[in-house]
Amino acid sequence: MEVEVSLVKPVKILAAVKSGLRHLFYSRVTRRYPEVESGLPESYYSFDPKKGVATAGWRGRHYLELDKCTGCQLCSFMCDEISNAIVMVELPDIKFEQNKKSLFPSVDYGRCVFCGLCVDACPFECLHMTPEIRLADYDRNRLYYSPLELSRPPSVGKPSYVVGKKREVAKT
Amino acid sequence: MNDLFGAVQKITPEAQCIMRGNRVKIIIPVGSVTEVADLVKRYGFNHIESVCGTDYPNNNIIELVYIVGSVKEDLKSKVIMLGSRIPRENPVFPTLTNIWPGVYFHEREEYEMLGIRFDGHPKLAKLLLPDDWDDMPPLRKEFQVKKWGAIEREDSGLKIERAVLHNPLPECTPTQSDFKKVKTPDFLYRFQAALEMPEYDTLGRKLFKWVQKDDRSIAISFGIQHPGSGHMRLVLGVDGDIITDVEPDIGYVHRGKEKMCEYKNYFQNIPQLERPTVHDSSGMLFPYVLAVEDILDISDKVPERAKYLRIIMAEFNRILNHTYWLAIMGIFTGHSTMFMWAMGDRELIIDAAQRLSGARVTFAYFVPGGVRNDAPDGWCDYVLKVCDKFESRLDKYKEIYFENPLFLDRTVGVGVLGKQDAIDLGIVGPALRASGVYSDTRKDEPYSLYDTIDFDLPVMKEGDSYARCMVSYMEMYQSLRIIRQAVSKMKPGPVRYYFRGRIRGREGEAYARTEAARGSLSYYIISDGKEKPYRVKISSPSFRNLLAGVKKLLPGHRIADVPVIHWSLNYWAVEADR
Repeated sequence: MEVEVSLVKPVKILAAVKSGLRHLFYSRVTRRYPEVESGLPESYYSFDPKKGVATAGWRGRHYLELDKCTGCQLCSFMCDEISNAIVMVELPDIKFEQNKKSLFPSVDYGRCVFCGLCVDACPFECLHMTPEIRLADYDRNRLYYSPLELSRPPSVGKPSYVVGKKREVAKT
Repeated sequence: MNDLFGAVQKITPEAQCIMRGNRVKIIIPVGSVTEVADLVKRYGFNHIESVCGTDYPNNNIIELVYIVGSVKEDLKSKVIMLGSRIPRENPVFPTLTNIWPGVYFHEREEYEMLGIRFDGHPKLAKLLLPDDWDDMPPLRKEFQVKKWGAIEREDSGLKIERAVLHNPLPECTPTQSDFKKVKTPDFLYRFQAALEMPEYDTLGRKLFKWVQKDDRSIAISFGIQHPGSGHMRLVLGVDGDIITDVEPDIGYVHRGKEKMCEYKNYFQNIPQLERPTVHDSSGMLFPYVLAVEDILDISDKVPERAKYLRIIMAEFNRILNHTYWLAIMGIFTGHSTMFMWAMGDRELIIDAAQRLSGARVTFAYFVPGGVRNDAPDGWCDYVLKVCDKFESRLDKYKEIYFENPLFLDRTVGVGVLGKQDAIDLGIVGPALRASGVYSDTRKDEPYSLYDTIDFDLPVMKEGDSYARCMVSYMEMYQSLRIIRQAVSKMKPGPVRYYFRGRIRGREGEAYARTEAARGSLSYYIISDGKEKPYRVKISSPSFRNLLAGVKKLLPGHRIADVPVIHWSLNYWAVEADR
């Protein structure tokens, strides 16, 4: 019985192996996250209602400017059918001239899908999204951010939550 | 098209014709449907796209529309919609499976979603809904989706009372008890031994129902728990390890997207509609925004720069989808290096898309009227750099994978799909082009300035798994070519037509189709002039490719070939179930 011996297959397999072996001398593709940051630009995603165009930026945690918010609830109406994450709450201690009822949005990050359409809905440019993306927590209740927490400037590039430190939940 | 309508009118003088651009809607009485469908097919409309039923409780009718396209050169850009109105109480319709075999699963879906009975359908059974579904067909307008219950958060003293409780009307017809409750494949009943088998073994454990004690045949399950693409199952009848029969069992990840769309306005639908296909999220949104722009009458107001940005984003998503698919293909053929490389190189594209849109997976970048934000400074140069880097990586894939004999042995000649079969079954996307059909919505009916861009369509004649893989692989080169041209053609300018106030569409309907990564994807939106769509029908490429995967390709192959055939069709369960 004659056995056909063909060298085509072994040669091609060796060529594939050679192509793979060459990668031993390449630099690393993976990033040592979170020690090494992504290196992407750190800008806010915010919306200009006059022009009707947003500026490019990360869509992480929200940043709320309390002194601009009028409590018009448009962000909440937009979110109702998307993920129901934004709920208007009353902060009686905080009085602003433009917000007589002291209604401010609060965000539940257990539900938020980070689409950013609430930012597009805000006609007063007071809601933004920030590069703070590490929002994971050990307690579900702490994913609920009160307006006071949202109004803190984000700690860009640093973990937002340090293990062992409890975040105070604002009583409303 | 007028000659076709004339011929239809000879059959039924009551036929009505509504024309809007390339879309021709012909409404005929039920009695002459089979005759007219036969005529339409002989005219050249041979590629089924969608079947959509809409419930109108006020007029007491259900309108059923067959949406048919073509792969013929002169009819490619046209779509014919063959509609008929049937009474709501007892909706009966003649099946068209013998004219367009591709409507097999579409008709089954309409049967369970609207309760329409198709006379003469080979197997009218449930497809997407759960087996224990005991309610009315969900796309009837009386059916109300359950809303959230009252939300209470004790820690913050928060209470929301917006709950609407689900309360089905008992007198609605037809009830779901008409349905066959069993999803067991027919071919299993051939094995008499199975029926005589005891239900419990000697130790009192329940036996798996479909294991046969026949001397030759046995039925096994491929899947449920994530066979590579999502939760779905193929019930395979095997003789030895040769597959004799296949029955798909899908619907494990059905979320009711079409029903959900009716509860949200045109903008709120954007984040949820891209969820079925997260690695092709912009491709999934593309036809939706085109159809909504048609409904809102703002199609001509979309700025040019926005159209180019859309093209770039859609092609990014095509690459993201194909690299993901290639990675899993590597796993299926036992090639872990391919998985690592493809997954690693995706990051290049993800970073570029993230700089533009601000998210890494679900971009939510397209809105009716344009795109949400302009490109940041220096982004165009960055994209060109990414394209060069990615192209150099693509060349390496060929060395290690596509010319590798280990890959060739698994794919060449496996799962051959003929050209005529592919057209008849309504196959789309790379699977259709691998069978030798030159068809792509970007070329057939150029949308969003695709006609200003010069690119080629990779087409192969073989129709086997290898051809399908190669077509997808070559498409990535073409995507890079499109991105480079679009970046160079972009001029500074506005990127969004912004409209204030409440958004209401015109009364009417719109049908838009684009080429998503897996194939032609179409949205059929019906508006009644309110803020929310009246009916949204999604016809996804995975759903349309399912029939080929199960009925045509698998029988005759070995079990070891199932993953390769299944995945070379690029079937994504979540997209098919919606």
